[in-house]
Amino acid sequence: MPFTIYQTTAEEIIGATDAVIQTGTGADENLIAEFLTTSLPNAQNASKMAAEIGLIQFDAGTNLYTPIFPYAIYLVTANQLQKAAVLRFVLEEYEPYKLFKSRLKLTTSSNDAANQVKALLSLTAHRAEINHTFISLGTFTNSLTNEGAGKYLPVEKSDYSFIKVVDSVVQSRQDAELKIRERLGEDIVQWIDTNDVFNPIVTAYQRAADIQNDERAPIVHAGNAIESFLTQVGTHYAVNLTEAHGINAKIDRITQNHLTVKHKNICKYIGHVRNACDHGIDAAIGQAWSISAETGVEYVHISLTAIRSIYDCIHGNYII
Amino acid sequence: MEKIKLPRSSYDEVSRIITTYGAIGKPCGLNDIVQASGVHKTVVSANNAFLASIEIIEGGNKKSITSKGASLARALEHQMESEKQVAWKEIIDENDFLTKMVQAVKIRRGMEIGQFENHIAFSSGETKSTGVRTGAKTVVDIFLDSGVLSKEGDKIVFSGESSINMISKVELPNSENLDTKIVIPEQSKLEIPTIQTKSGITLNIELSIQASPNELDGLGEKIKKIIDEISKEN
Repeated sequence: MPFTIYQTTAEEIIGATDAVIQTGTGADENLIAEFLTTSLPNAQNASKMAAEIGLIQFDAGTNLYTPIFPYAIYLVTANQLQKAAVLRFVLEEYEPYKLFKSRLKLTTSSNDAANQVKALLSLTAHRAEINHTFISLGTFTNSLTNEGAGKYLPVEKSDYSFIKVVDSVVQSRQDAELKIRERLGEDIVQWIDTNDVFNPIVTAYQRAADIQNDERAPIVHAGNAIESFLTQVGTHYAVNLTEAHGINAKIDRITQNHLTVKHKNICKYIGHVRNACDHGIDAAIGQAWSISAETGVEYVHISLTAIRSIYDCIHGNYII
Repeated sequence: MEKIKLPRSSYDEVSRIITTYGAIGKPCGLNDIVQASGVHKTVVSANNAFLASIEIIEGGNKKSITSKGASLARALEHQMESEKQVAWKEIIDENDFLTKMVQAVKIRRGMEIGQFENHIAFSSGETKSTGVRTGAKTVVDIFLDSGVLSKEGDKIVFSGESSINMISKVELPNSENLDTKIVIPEQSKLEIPTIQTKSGITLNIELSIQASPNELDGLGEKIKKIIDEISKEN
Protein backbone atom coordinates (compact mmCIF):
# COMPACT_ATOMS: atom_id res chain seq x y z
CA MET A 1 0.00 0.00 0.00
CA PRO A 2 1.51 3.38 -0.95
CA PHE A 3 1.83 5.90 1.85
CA THR A 4 1.79 9.69 1.80
CA ILE A 5 2.88 11.82 4.72
CA TYR A 6 1.48 15.33 5.11
CA GLN A 7 2.96 18.08 7.25
CA THR A 8 0.64 18.59 10.19
CA THR A 9 0.43 18.38 13.97
CA ALA A 10 -1.21 15.92 16.33
CA GLU A 11 -3.59 18.65 17.47
CA GLU A 12 -4.80 19.39 13.95
CA ILE A 13 -5.36 15.69 13.21
CA ILE A 14 -7.52 15.45 16.34
CA GLY A 15 -9.31 18.67 15.36
CA ALA A 16 -10.02 17.42 11.83
CA THR A 17 -11.42 14.17 13.22
CA ASP A 18 -13.55 16.12 15.69
CA ALA A 19 -14.95 18.29 12.86
CA VAL A 20 -15.85 15.21 10.83
CA ILE A 21 -17.62 13.56 13.78
CA GLN A 22 -19.50 16.73 14.75
CA THR A 23 -21.10 17.30 11.36
CA GLY A 24 -22.78 13.92 11.46
CA THR A 25 -23.07 13.81 7.68
CA GLY A 26 -19.40 14.28 6.76
CA ALA A 27 -17.24 17.34 6.39
CA ASP A 28 -15.40 18.89 3.46
CA GLU A 29 -11.97 20.54 3.72
CA ASN A 30 -13.39 24.07 3.89
CA LEU A 31 -15.53 23.18 6.87
CA ILE A 32 -12.56 21.50 8.56
CA ALA A 33 -10.45 24.64 7.94
CA GLU A 34 -13.18 26.77 9.49
CA PHE A 35 -13.52 24.39 12.42
CA LEU A 36 -9.76 24.43 13.04
CA THR A 37 -9.55 28.18 12.32
CA THR A 38 -6.59 27.48 10.13
CA SER A 39 -5.65 27.88 6.47
CA LEU A 40 -7.14 25.57 3.84
CA PRO A 41 -3.74 23.91 3.08
CA ASN A 42 -3.26 23.15 6.80
CA ALA A 43 -6.78 21.70 7.03
CA GLN A 44 -6.20 19.62 3.90
CA ASN A 45 -2.98 18.22 5.35
CA ALA A 46 -4.60 17.45 8.70
CA SER A 47 -7.57 15.70 7.06
CA LYS A 48 -5.39 13.69 4.70
CA MET A 49 -3.06 12.63 7.52
CA ALA A 50 -6.05 11.67 9.71
CA ALA A 51 -7.22 9.54 6.78
CA GLU A 52 -3.71 8.05 6.40
CA ILE A 53 -3.68 6.76 9.95
CA GLY A 54 -7.22 5.44 9.70
CA LEU A 55 -9.31 7.87 11.71
CA ILE A 56 -11.41 9.25 8.87
CA GLN A 57 -12.01 8.39 5.23
CA PHE A 58 -12.51 10.44 2.10
CA ASP A 59 -15.36 9.86 -0.30
CA ALA A 60 -14.31 11.16 -3.71
CA GLY A 61 -17.93 11.08 -4.89
CA THR A 62 -19.20 13.54 -2.29
CA ASN A 63 -15.86 15.23 -1.51
CA LEU A 64 -16.61 14.61 2.15
CA TYR A 65 -14.66 13.03 4.97
CA THR A 66 -16.54 10.63 7.22
CA PRO A 67 -15.34 9.00 10.46
CA ILE A 68 -13.95 5.50 10.73
CA PHE A 69 -15.41 3.84 13.81
CA PRO A 70 -14.63 3.14 16.57
CA TYR A 71 -11.31 4.97 17.04
CA ALA A 72 -12.50 8.29 15.66
CA ILE A 73 -15.25 8.31 18.31
CA TYR A 74 -12.85 7.16 21.03
CA LEU A 75 -10.43 9.94 20.10
CA VAL A 76 -13.05 12.67 20.08
CA THR A 77 -14.85 11.65 23.26
CA ALA A 78 -11.70 11.08 25.32
CA ASN A 79 -10.18 13.66 27.66
CA GLN A 80 -6.85 15.28 26.76
CA LEU A 81 -4.60 12.58 28.21
CA GLN A 82 -6.77 9.80 26.89
CA LYS A 83 -6.64 11.40 23.44
CA ALA A 84 -2.86 10.97 23.51
CA ALA A 85 -3.26 7.29 24.35
CA VAL A 86 -5.91 6.64 21.69
CA LEU A 87 -3.89 8.48 19.07
CA ARG A 88 -0.80 6.50 20.05
CA PHE A 89 -2.74 3.27 19.73
CA VAL A 90 -3.68 4.19 16.15
CA LEU A 91 -0.26 5.65 15.32
CA GLU A 92 1.71 2.61 16.46
CA GLU A 93 -0.19 0.60 13.84
CA TYR A 94 0.83 2.93 11.02
CA GLU A 95 3.65 1.35 9.03
CA PRO A 96 5.68 4.51 8.17
CA TYR A 97 5.64 5.61 11.80
CA LYS A 98 6.71 2.15 13.01
CA LEU A 99 9.59 2.30 10.54
CA PHE A 100 10.45 5.86 11.62
CA LYS A 101 10.64 4.73 15.24
CA SER A 102 12.89 1.79 14.49
CA ARG A 103 15.21 3.91 12.32
CA LEU A 104 15.25 6.58 15.01
CA LYS A 105 16.38 4.02 17.56
CA LEU A 106 19.24 2.97 15.30
CA THR A 107 20.35 6.37 14.05
CA THR A 108 19.37 8.52 17.08
CA SER A 109 18.72 11.32 14.57
CA SER A 110 15.15 12.17 13.60
CA ASN A 111 16.37 13.82 10.40
CA ASP A 112 18.22 10.66 9.34
CA ALA A 113 15.28 8.48 10.35
CA ALA A 114 12.91 10.65 8.28
CA ASN A 115 15.29 10.49 5.33
CA GLN A 116 15.50 6.72 5.53
CA VAL A 117 11.73 6.29 5.82
CA LYS A 118 11.34 8.52 2.78
CA ALA A 119 13.77 6.37 0.80
CA LEU A 120 12.54 2.97 1.98
CA LEU A 121 8.86 3.71 1.36
CA SER A 122 9.43 5.93 -1.70
CA LEU A 123 7.56 8.79 -0.05
CA THR A 124 7.08 12.01 -1.97
CA ALA A 125 7.01 14.27 1.09
CA HIS A 126 10.11 16.27 1.97
CA ARG A 127 12.26 14.81 4.75
CA ALA A 128 11.58 17.85 6.93
CA GLU A 129 7.80 17.39 6.57
CA ILE A 130 8.02 13.72 7.56
CA ASN A 131 10.21 14.66 10.50
CA HIS A 132 7.90 17.49 11.62
CA THR A 133 4.74 15.36 11.49
CA PHE A 134 6.18 12.29 13.18
CA ILE A 135 7.91 14.30 15.91
CA SER A 136 4.68 16.19 16.59
CA LEU A 137 2.67 12.96 16.74
CA GLY A 138 5.33 11.01 18.63
CA THR A 139 5.87 13.61 21.33
CA PHE A 140 2.15 14.34 21.70
CA THR A 141 1.41 10.66 22.27
CA ASN A 142 4.45 10.09 24.49
CA SER A 143 5.69 7.50 22.04
CA LEU A 144 8.88 9.54 21.63
CA THR A 145 10.85 11.36 24.29
CA ASN A 146 12.69 14.61 23.86
CA GLU A 147 16.29 14.12 24.97
CA GLY A 148 17.27 17.76 24.44
CA ALA A 149 19.59 19.32 21.84
CA GLY A 150 17.21 18.36 19.03
CA LYS A 151 17.41 14.68 19.88
CA TYR A 152 14.36 12.41 20.15
CA LEU A 153 14.22 8.74 21.04
CA PRO A 154 11.49 6.11 21.09
CA VAL A 155 10.22 5.34 24.57
CA GLU A 156 12.45 2.41 25.47
CA LYS A 157 10.68 0.88 28.44
CA SER A 158 7.90 -1.56 27.78
CA ASP A 159 5.45 1.17 28.60
CA TYR A 160 2.10 -0.20 27.59
CA SER A 161 0.16 1.88 30.09
CA PHE A 162 -1.40 3.74 27.16
CA ILE A 163 -3.23 0.53 26.24
CA LYS A 164 -4.84 0.61 29.68
CA VAL A 165 -5.90 4.18 28.97
CA VAL A 166 -7.37 3.13 25.62
CA ASP A 167 -9.13 0.33 27.44
CA SER A 168 -10.60 2.86 29.88
CA VAL A 169 -11.81 4.97 26.92
CA VAL A 170 -13.50 1.92 25.41
CA GLN A 171 -14.93 1.09 28.82
CA SER A 172 -16.16 4.63 29.24
CA ARG A 173 -17.94 4.45 25.85
CA GLN A 174 -19.57 1.18 26.86
CA ASP A 175 -20.61 2.68 30.20
CA ALA A 176 -22.13 5.66 28.41
CA GLU A 177 -24.02 3.35 26.04
CA LEU A 178 -25.36 1.38 28.98
CA LYS A 179 -26.47 4.56 30.74
CA ILE A 180 -28.34 5.75 27.64
CA ARG A 181 -29.91 2.32 27.15
CA GLU A 182 -31.03 2.40 30.76
CA ARG A 183 -32.39 5.91 30.45
CA LEU A 184 -34.30 5.35 27.20
CA GLY A 185 -35.23 1.73 27.63
CA GLU A 186 -34.54 -1.11 25.23
CA ASP A 187 -37.74 -0.57 23.17
CA ILE A 188 -36.71 2.95 22.27
CA VAL A 189 -33.09 1.95 21.58
CA GLN A 190 -34.37 -0.69 19.17
CA TRP A 191 -36.69 1.84 17.48
CA ILE A 192 -34.24 4.68 16.96
CA ASP A 193 -31.59 4.59 14.27
CA THR A 194 -28.31 3.33 15.75
CA ASN A 195 -25.91 5.35 13.59
CA ASP A 196 -27.84 8.59 13.30
CA VAL A 197 -29.60 8.85 16.67
CA PHE A 198 -28.19 6.46 19.25
CA ASN A 199 -24.46 6.93 18.53
CA PRO A 200 -24.54 10.76 18.48
CA ILE A 201 -26.59 10.94 21.68
CA VAL A 202 -24.06 8.63 23.40
CA THR A 203 -21.28 10.89 22.12
CA ALA A 204 -23.16 13.94 23.40
CA TYR A 205 -23.48 12.30 26.80
CA GLN A 206 -19.74 11.59 26.90
CA ARG A 207 -18.87 15.13 25.78
CA ALA A 208 -21.10 16.50 28.55
CA ALA A 209 -18.91 14.69 31.06
CA ASP A 210 -15.93 16.63 29.67
CA ILE A 211 -17.83 19.91 29.46
CA GLN A 212 -14.98 22.11 30.70
CA ASN A 213 -13.08 21.45 27.47
CA ASP A 214 -15.92 22.23 25.08
CA GLU A 215 -19.39 23.33 26.16
CA ARG A 216 -20.70 23.38 22.58
CA ALA A 217 -19.86 19.78 21.64
CA PRO A 218 -22.68 18.07 23.62
CA ILE A 219 -25.19 20.42 21.99
CA VAL A 220 -23.85 19.77 18.51
CA HIS A 221 -24.01 15.98 18.92
CA ALA A 222 -27.36 15.89 20.73
CA GLY A 223 -28.79 18.35 18.17
CA ASN A 224 -27.69 16.03 15.35
CA ALA A 225 -29.31 13.09 17.14
CA ILE A 226 -32.61 14.96 17.60
CA GLU A 227 -32.75 16.14 14.00
CA SER A 228 -32.21 12.56 12.78
CA PHE A 229 -34.78 11.35 15.28
CA LEU A 230 -37.35 13.83 13.94
CA THR A 231 -36.62 12.59 10.41
CA GLN A 232 -37.47 9.11 11.67
CA VAL A 233 -40.64 10.42 13.33
CA GLY A 234 -41.59 12.20 10.09
CA THR A 235 -41.12 8.98 8.15
CA HIS A 236 -43.24 7.12 10.72
CA TYR A 237 -46.14 9.55 10.25
CA ALA A 238 -45.47 9.83 6.49
CA VAL A 239 -44.91 13.57 6.84
CA ASN A 240 -43.11 15.16 3.92
CA LEU A 241 -40.02 16.84 5.42
CA THR A 242 -38.60 18.06 2.12
CA GLU A 243 -37.11 21.54 2.55
CA ALA A 244 -37.68 21.31 6.32
CA HIS A 245 -34.10 21.93 7.37
CA GLY A 246 -33.25 21.91 11.02
CA ILE A 247 -35.04 20.88 14.19
CA ASN A 248 -37.48 23.81 14.30
CA ALA A 249 -38.69 23.38 10.72
CA LYS A 250 -39.06 19.61 11.13
CA ILE A 251 -41.05 19.80 14.37
CA ASP A 252 -43.29 22.54 12.88
CA ARG A 253 -44.09 20.27 9.95
CA ILE A 254 -44.68 17.17 12.12
CA THR A 255 -46.86 18.90 14.71
CA GLN A 256 -49.23 20.25 12.07
CA ASN A 257 -51.12 16.96 12.46
CA HIS A 258 -49.20 14.86 14.98
CA LEU A 259 -47.75 14.90 18.51
CA THR A 260 -48.71 17.77 20.87
CA VAL A 261 -47.90 21.45 21.48
CA LYS A 262 -45.80 20.38 24.44
CA HIS A 263 -43.65 18.15 22.24
CA LYS A 264 -43.38 20.98 19.78
CA ASN A 265 -42.16 23.40 22.44
CA ILE A 266 -39.67 20.96 23.95
CA CYS A 267 -38.21 20.55 20.47
CA LYS A 268 -38.28 24.33 19.94
CA TYR A 269 -36.04 24.69 23.00
CA ILE A 270 -33.70 22.08 21.53
CA GLY A 271 -33.78 23.76 18.11
CA HIS A 272 -33.22 27.30 19.36
CA VAL A 273 -30.36 26.38 21.71
CA ARG A 274 -28.74 24.44 18.86
CA ASN A 275 -29.07 27.49 16.61
CA ALA A 276 -27.55 29.70 19.29
CA CYS A 277 -24.66 27.26 19.57
CA ASP A 278 -24.14 26.64 15.90
CA HIS A 279 -25.08 29.69 13.87
CA GLY A 280 -22.39 32.24 14.75
CA ILE A 281 -23.51 35.87 14.94
CA ASP A 282 -27.22 36.25 15.73
CA ALA A 283 -28.62 39.26 13.85
CA ALA A 284 -31.03 39.92 16.74
CA ILE A 285 -28.22 40.67 19.20
CA GLY A 286 -25.38 41.48 16.80
CA GLN A 287 -23.04 38.89 18.29
CA ALA A 288 -22.61 35.15 18.82
CA TRP A 289 -24.16 33.49 21.86
CA SER A 290 -21.92 32.15 24.59
CA ILE A 291 -22.92 28.72 25.80
CA SER A 292 -22.80 27.98 29.51
CA ALA A 293 -21.47 24.68 30.79
CA GLU A 294 -24.78 24.06 32.57
CA THR A 295 -26.72 24.38 29.30
CA GLY A 296 -24.29 21.98 27.61
CA VAL A 297 -25.08 19.35 30.26
CA GLU A 298 -28.82 20.03 30.51
CA TYR A 299 -29.26 19.95 26.76
CA VAL A 300 -28.31 16.28 26.55
CA HIS A 301 -30.76 15.35 29.30
CA ILE A 302 -33.58 17.35 27.70
CA SER A 303 -32.82 15.73 24.34
CA LEU A 304 -33.13 12.29 25.95
CA THR A 305 -36.43 13.33 27.53
CA ALA A 306 -37.68 14.57 24.16
CA ILE A 307 -36.81 11.29 22.43
CA ARG A 308 -38.48 9.29 25.14
CA SER A 309 -41.58 11.47 25.34
CA ILE A 310 -42.13 11.58 21.56
CA TYR A 311 -41.66 7.82 21.32
CA ASP A 312 -44.20 7.37 24.13
CA CYS A 313 -46.65 9.70 22.40
CA ILE A 314 -46.32 7.72 19.16
CA HIS A 315 -47.24 4.65 21.20
CA GLY A 316 -50.21 6.29 22.92
CA ASN A 317 -48.56 7.26 26.20
CA TYR A 318 -48.27 10.85 27.43
CA ILE A 319 -45.24 11.14 29.68
CA ILE A 320 -42.89 14.08 30.02
CA MET B 1 -12.39 31.37 17.50
CA GLU B 2 -10.78 33.87 15.17
CA LYS B 3 -7.72 33.10 13.10
CA ILE B 4 -4.58 34.44 14.74
CA LYS B 5 -2.09 36.71 13.05
CA LEU B 6 1.33 36.43 14.65
CA PRO B 7 3.28 39.56 15.66
CA ARG B 8 5.96 40.76 13.28
CA SER B 9 8.46 42.23 15.74
CA SER B 10 10.54 41.30 18.74
CA TYR B 11 8.93 41.17 22.16
CA ASP B 12 10.62 44.48 23.12
CA GLU B 13 9.16 46.27 20.15
CA VAL B 14 5.71 44.77 20.68
CA SER B 15 5.91 45.85 24.36
CA ARG B 16 6.81 49.38 23.28
CA ILE B 17 3.75 49.53 21.03
CA ILE B 18 1.53 48.25 23.86
CA THR B 19 2.83 50.81 26.37
CA THR B 20 2.32 53.58 23.80
CA TYR B 21 -1.31 52.58 23.26
CA GLY B 22 -1.64 52.50 27.06
CA ALA B 23 -0.07 55.94 27.48
CA ILE B 24 -2.31 57.52 24.85
CA GLY B 25 -5.30 55.84 26.43
CA LYS B 26 -7.86 56.97 23.84
CA PRO B 27 -8.68 56.03 20.24
CA CYS B 28 -5.75 57.01 18.06
CA GLY B 29 -4.50 56.58 14.53
CA LEU B 30 -1.35 54.87 13.34
CA ASN B 31 0.56 58.15 13.12
CA ASP B 32 -0.11 58.97 16.79
CA ILE B 33 1.46 55.66 17.82
CA VAL B 34 4.37 56.14 15.42
CA GLN B 35 5.12 59.61 16.82
CA ALA B 36 4.81 58.58 20.46
CA SER B 37 6.67 55.27 20.22
CA GLY B 38 9.29 56.01 17.59
CA VAL B 39 8.44 52.67 15.99
CA HIS B 40 8.14 52.70 12.20
CA LYS B 41 4.63 52.94 10.76
CA THR B 42 4.80 49.61 8.86
CA VAL B 43 6.00 47.86 12.01
CA VAL B 44 3.14 49.24 14.14
CA SER B 45 0.66 48.35 11.44
CA ALA B 46 2.03 44.82 11.07
CA ASN B 47 1.69 44.17 14.81
CA ASN B 48 -1.78 45.70 15.24
CA ALA B 49 -3.52 42.58 13.89
CA PHE B 50 -1.87 40.43 16.55
CA LEU B 51 -2.62 42.91 19.33
CA ALA B 52 -6.25 43.09 18.21
CA SER B 53 -6.60 39.31 17.94
CA ILE B 54 -5.44 38.85 21.54
CA GLU B 55 -7.67 41.77 22.60
CA ILE B 56 -5.02 44.19 23.77
CA ILE B 57 -6.31 46.84 21.39
CA GLU B 58 -9.64 47.28 19.67
CA GLY B 59 -11.35 49.48 17.09
CA GLY B 60 -11.22 50.22 13.38
CA ASN B 61 -9.02 52.90 11.84
CA LYS B 62 -8.55 54.52 15.22
CA LYS B 63 -7.56 51.93 17.74
CA SER B 64 -7.58 52.14 21.51
CA ILE B 65 -6.29 50.04 24.35
CA THR B 66 -8.74 47.57 25.96
CA SER B 67 -9.09 47.37 29.74
CA LYS B 68 -6.91 44.26 30.00
CA GLY B 69 -4.50 45.85 27.53
CA ALA B 70 -4.32 48.91 29.79
CA SER B 71 -3.42 46.74 32.81
CA LEU B 72 -0.67 45.11 30.79
CA ALA B 73 0.59 48.43 29.40
CA ARG B 74 0.77 49.90 32.91
CA ALA B 75 2.62 46.85 34.23
CA LEU B 76 5.07 46.94 31.32
CA GLU B 77 5.67 50.66 31.72
CA HIS B 78 6.26 50.47 35.47
CA GLN B 79 8.16 47.19 35.18
CA MET B 80 5.88 45.57 37.73
CA GLU B 81 6.75 41.89 37.39
CA SER B 82 3.81 40.21 39.09
CA GLU B 83 1.20 42.59 37.63
CA LYS B 84 2.70 42.01 34.20
CA GLN B 85 2.46 38.25 34.64
CA VAL B 86 -1.13 38.45 35.83
CA ALA B 87 -2.05 40.67 32.88
CA TRP B 88 -0.38 38.37 30.33
CA LYS B 89 -1.91 35.28 31.94
CA GLU B 90 -5.37 36.78 31.64
CA ILE B 91 -4.77 37.53 27.97
CA ILE B 92 -3.38 34.03 27.32
CA ASP B 93 -6.21 32.31 29.15
CA GLU B 94 -8.83 34.18 27.17
CA ASN B 95 -7.31 33.45 23.79
CA ASP B 96 -7.97 30.03 22.24
CA PHE B 97 -4.85 30.00 20.08
CA LEU B 98 -2.48 30.92 22.93
CA THR B 99 -4.19 28.44 25.27
CA LYS B 100 -3.78 25.68 22.69
CA MET B 101 -0.07 26.48 22.37
CA VAL B 102 0.33 26.14 26.15
CA GLN B 103 -1.54 22.82 26.04
CA ALA B 104 0.78 21.61 23.28
CA VAL B 105 3.75 22.08 25.61
CA LYS B 106 1.91 20.65 28.58
CA ILE B 107 0.80 17.44 26.89
CA ARG B 108 4.28 16.85 25.45
CA ARG B 109 5.85 17.47 28.86
CA GLY B 110 8.02 20.14 27.33
CA MET B 111 9.11 21.04 23.82
CA GLU B 112 12.41 22.12 22.31
CA ILE B 113 12.40 25.85 21.67
CA GLY B 114 12.84 25.36 17.92
CA GLN B 115 10.11 22.72 17.79
CA PHE B 116 7.77 24.98 19.75
CA GLU B 117 8.47 27.96 17.47
CA ASN B 118 7.73 25.76 14.44
CA HIS B 119 4.57 24.50 16.10
CA ILE B 120 3.36 28.08 16.72
CA ALA B 121 4.21 29.23 13.20
CA PHE B 122 2.60 26.17 11.62
CA SER B 123 -0.53 26.25 13.81
CA SER B 124 -1.11 29.91 13.00
CA GLY B 125 -1.82 28.80 9.43
CA GLU B 126 0.26 31.69 8.10
CA THR B 127 2.56 31.19 5.13
CA LYS B 128 6.16 30.49 6.14
CA SER B 129 8.24 33.68 6.14
CA THR B 130 10.89 35.46 8.19
CA GLY B 131 8.18 37.66 9.70
CA VAL B 132 6.16 34.64 10.82
CA ARG B 133 9.27 33.07 12.38
CA THR B 134 9.97 36.33 14.25
CA GLY B 135 6.35 36.35 15.40
CA ALA B 136 6.58 32.78 16.67
CA LYS B 137 9.71 33.72 18.66
CA THR B 138 7.89 36.72 20.14
CA VAL B 139 4.97 34.52 21.19
CA VAL B 140 7.46 32.22 22.94
CA ASP B 141 8.91 35.28 24.72
CA ILE B 142 5.40 36.32 25.79
CA PHE B 143 4.81 32.87 27.31
CA LEU B 144 8.16 33.03 29.11
CA ASP B 145 7.63 36.59 30.37
CA SER B 146 4.14 35.69 31.57
CA GLY B 147 5.57 32.85 33.63
CA VAL B 148 3.07 30.40 32.09
CA LEU B 149 5.98 28.59 30.46
CA SER B 150 9.59 28.50 31.51
CA LYS B 151 12.94 27.44 30.13
CA GLU B 152 14.73 24.29 31.24
CA GLY B 153 17.96 24.11 29.27
CA ASP B 154 16.91 24.22 25.65
CA LYS B 155 13.40 23.05 26.46
CA ILE B 156 10.26 25.02 27.13
CA VAL B 157 8.19 23.53 29.92
CA PHE B 158 4.84 24.27 31.52
CA SER B 159 5.32 26.24 34.74
CA GLY B 160 2.03 25.63 36.51
CA GLU B 161 -1.60 26.55 36.59
CA SER B 162 -2.66 29.58 34.58
CA SER B 163 -4.48 32.43 36.29
CA ILE B 164 -7.94 31.48 35.05
CA ASN B 165 -7.47 27.98 36.37
CA MET B 166 -6.40 29.45 39.71
CA ILE B 167 -9.34 31.80 39.86
CA SER B 168 -12.23 29.50 39.16
CA LYS B 169 -12.40 25.78 39.18
CA VAL B 170 -15.62 24.41 37.73
CA GLU B 171 -16.54 20.83 38.41
CA LEU B 172 -19.23 19.32 36.25
CA PRO B 173 -21.60 17.67 35.39
CA ASN B 174 -22.93 18.52 38.85
CA SER B 175 -23.29 22.23 38.15
CA GLU B 176 -23.85 23.07 41.81
CA ASN B 177 -20.21 22.39 42.58
CA LEU B 178 -19.00 25.80 41.66
CA ASP B 179 -15.93 26.42 43.72
CA THR B 180 -14.64 29.91 43.23
CA LYS B 181 -11.26 30.90 44.55
CA ILE B 182 -9.76 34.27 43.91
CA VAL B 183 -6.02 34.46 44.14
CA ILE B 184 -4.68 37.93 44.70
CA PRO B 185 -1.20 38.29 43.33
CA GLU B 186 1.51 39.62 45.58
CA GLN B 187 2.15 43.31 44.93
CA SER B 188 5.54 44.21 43.57
CA LYS B 189 7.57 46.76 45.50
CA LEU B 190 8.88 49.92 43.91
CA GLU B 191 12.55 49.90 44.76
CA ILE B 192 13.95 53.32 45.59
CA PRO B 193 17.71 53.72 45.17
CA THR B 194 19.86 54.32 48.22
CA ILE B 195 22.06 57.41 48.10
CA GLN B 196 25.50 57.21 49.66
CA THR B 197 26.75 60.71 50.65
CA LYS B 198 30.42 61.71 50.77
CA SER B 199 30.44 61.74 54.57
CA GLY B 200 29.33 58.11 54.56
CA ILE B 201 25.78 58.74 55.79
CA THR B 202 23.14 56.70 54.01
CA LEU B 203 19.95 58.52 53.10
CA ASN B 204 16.89 56.42 52.38
CA ILE B 205 14.36 58.51 50.53
CA GLU B 206 10.84 57.20 50.70
CA LEU B 207 8.40 58.54 48.14
CA SER B 208 4.73 58.47 48.96
CA ILE B 209 2.63 59.03 45.87
CA GLN B 210 -1.06 59.67 45.84
CA ALA B 211 -2.54 59.23 42.40
CA SER B 212 -5.96 58.41 41.06
CA PRO B 213 -6.23 55.57 38.49
CA ASN B 214 -6.43 57.99 35.56
CA GLU B 215 -3.13 59.57 36.64
CA LEU B 216 -1.26 56.26 36.59
CA ASP B 217 -0.35 56.36 32.92
CA GLY B 218 3.01 57.99 32.47
CA LEU B 219 3.62 58.01 36.21
CA GLY B 220 6.40 55.45 35.92
CA GLU B 221 8.34 57.69 33.57
CA LYS B 222 7.93 60.68 35.90
CA ILE B 223 9.10 58.74 38.97
CA LYS B 224 12.08 57.39 37.04
CA LYS B 225 12.94 60.96 36.03
CA ILE B 226 12.80 62.20 39.65
CA ILE B 227 14.96 59.29 40.82
CA ASP B 228 17.47 59.87 38.01
CA GLU B 229 17.66 63.58 38.91
CA ILE B 230 18.23 62.82 42.61
CA SER B 231 20.89 60.25 41.69
CA LYS B 232 22.61 62.78 39.38
CA GLU B 233 22.67 65.48 42.07
CA ASN B 234 24.57 63.01 44.19
